[in-house]
Amino acid sequence: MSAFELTGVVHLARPTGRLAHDLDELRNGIEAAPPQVLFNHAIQVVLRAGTGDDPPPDDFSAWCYGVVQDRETAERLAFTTRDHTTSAPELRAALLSVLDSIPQKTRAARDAPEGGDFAFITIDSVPIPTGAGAGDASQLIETLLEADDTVWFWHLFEEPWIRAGECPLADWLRASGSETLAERLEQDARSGVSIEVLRKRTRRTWQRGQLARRVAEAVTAPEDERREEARSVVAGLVSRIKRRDG
Amino acid sequence: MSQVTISSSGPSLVEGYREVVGDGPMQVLEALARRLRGHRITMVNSTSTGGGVAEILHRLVRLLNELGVPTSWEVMPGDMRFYGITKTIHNTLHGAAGSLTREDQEWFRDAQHRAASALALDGDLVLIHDPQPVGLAGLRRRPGQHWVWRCHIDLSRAQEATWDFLAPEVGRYDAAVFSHRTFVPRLDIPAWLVPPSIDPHSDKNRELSDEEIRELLEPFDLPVRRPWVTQISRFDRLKDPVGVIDAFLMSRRHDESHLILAGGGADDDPEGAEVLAEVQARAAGRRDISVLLLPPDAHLVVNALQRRSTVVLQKSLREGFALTVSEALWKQRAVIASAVGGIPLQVLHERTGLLVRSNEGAALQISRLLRTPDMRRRLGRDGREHVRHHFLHPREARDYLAVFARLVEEAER
Repeated sequence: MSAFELTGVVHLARPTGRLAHDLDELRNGIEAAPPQVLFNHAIQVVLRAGTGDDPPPDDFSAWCYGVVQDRETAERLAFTTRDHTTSAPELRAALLSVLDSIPQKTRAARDAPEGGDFAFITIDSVPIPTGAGAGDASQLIETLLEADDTVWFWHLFEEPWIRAGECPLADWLRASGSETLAERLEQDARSGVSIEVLRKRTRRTWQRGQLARRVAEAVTAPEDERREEARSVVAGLVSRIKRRDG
Repeated sequence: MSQVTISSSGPSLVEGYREVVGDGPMQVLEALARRLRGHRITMVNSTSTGGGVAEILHRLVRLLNELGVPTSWEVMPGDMRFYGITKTIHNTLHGAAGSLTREDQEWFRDAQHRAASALALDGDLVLIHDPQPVGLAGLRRRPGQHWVWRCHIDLSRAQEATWDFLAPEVGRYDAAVFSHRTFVPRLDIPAWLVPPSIDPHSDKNRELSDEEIRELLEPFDLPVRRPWVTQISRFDRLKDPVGVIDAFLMSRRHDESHLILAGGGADDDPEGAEVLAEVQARAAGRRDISVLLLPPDAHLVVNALQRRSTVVLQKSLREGFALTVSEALWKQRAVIASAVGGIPLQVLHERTGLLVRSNEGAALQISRLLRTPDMRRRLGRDGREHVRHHFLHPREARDYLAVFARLVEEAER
């Protein structure tokens, strides 16, 4: 099996020049927007606010909520965006169905105050192979856990978006026998959690898996090796508790 | 001598930044730099000292060289008349009244020709900063080079005549880079957004010990017991210092605190003295307000004031990018700021700080933060992380390299 190379990404944002002053113009802008514009406003936000457990809202619902102050539509757009993250046509159709459920005249009447127009911005992606590769699942996860947020984003959000849901990183993990982990990663990424949470969950899942493996291996090991192993596990636990308690 | 020499002695910048931003982001930056091996970058601006652009270039040029992308920095030569003209260009691009005469335009063009003969411009990737050397692309571009114009100025209120004079020159570049989407004029070349950044190791942002803070602030005789609410900004109407006092006084009806308004008056801003007088009049007789006029190089004092404050305000009516917000967030301060210009990129409401739109809103949030130390801690902690990810120099360096990588890749296709 060939090695898997981790890739990061830099996004260069570029204003399209198109603005929306009210919900009707937002609707028309979404209908005409190239996929990368939808990607920027709905998906890339995960990377833009790279802190905290809760990812920030997408730009469409944030504008609707904070600027137009149409709370109901904002809620519906936010749910829709989180629920349709795998391809541009699917996301566009879902967003339009929310906005089309509001009569055109009402949409036009729900507008932004002066200076509060929504600006459609596109993104040019520059993928960057990091040179950090892995020959097996264990090595891959260890490397991924220490990697930049953009590496997580590229493999678990952007590549699946570009490839209509296909995730080469998860496929590689499956092929190397780590099916549960692959499944978990894909599911978590699709569920709309932040990268920080994704990293924490993966670390936990991975450590549990490692623990199970160590226990299984220890069963057949000689007594002194098992004692040594137990001592190192307890020492690790103590040092983690000490670190946590400052 | 137009070439700026940057010392490479002292501790490694790459390792210094790695300690601050972590290994992950630095690995991506290093990978991007590897991709540009074999290329050379030339940066050009109009001064090697003073001003934000020179400040960042001193760091950036050294960082890029350490990363293995040979980078040189050349300063465009000019005379007093040229600098007078570029000052008019700068002010009118910011929306101030004024215009260039035909003679000014001729002098500006001649200066471009003189610079074109004087500068080496030997990189294949050229990054020209701001309007002063903008004409160089038209005069010195060679096949195989990629030229990018980096505009640090907010062009959203630019005088049309000034922009019309510069726009044809900008059109000769492969791409332009702006700090914020509202600064981008109509252009026929790609215009990418690269927000500015702060240096965590500079005097304005480096860690200070309690002892240093105490010593730096001692001369100002500020109260030690009451919590400080601080705005650090030029005395400029657009920073709304009088609105800050009004908001503070509203919050003061219910909560004990001390307001500090600190800043300098820019020499080129005749309105500054007028605004300072208004502020002093509004604060007259109040022992709970201190107005500090600081010299332009009081970086350590600004650092100490921010670190010692309980709440930091940036209640501007209009803003460029307002990096003072990132500076305060980096110091884990609870920030209240207006939702204008580049501020909402830094202050994510209720996540990294609080956004307000009125004096009453500011008053309400001052009281709220003074009463909730847990909230201040949470906003401060997440604010610092947000800046760590998005508003430190390594991210800006990474974005410039990505711009060039993209242009090189497109040319190779």
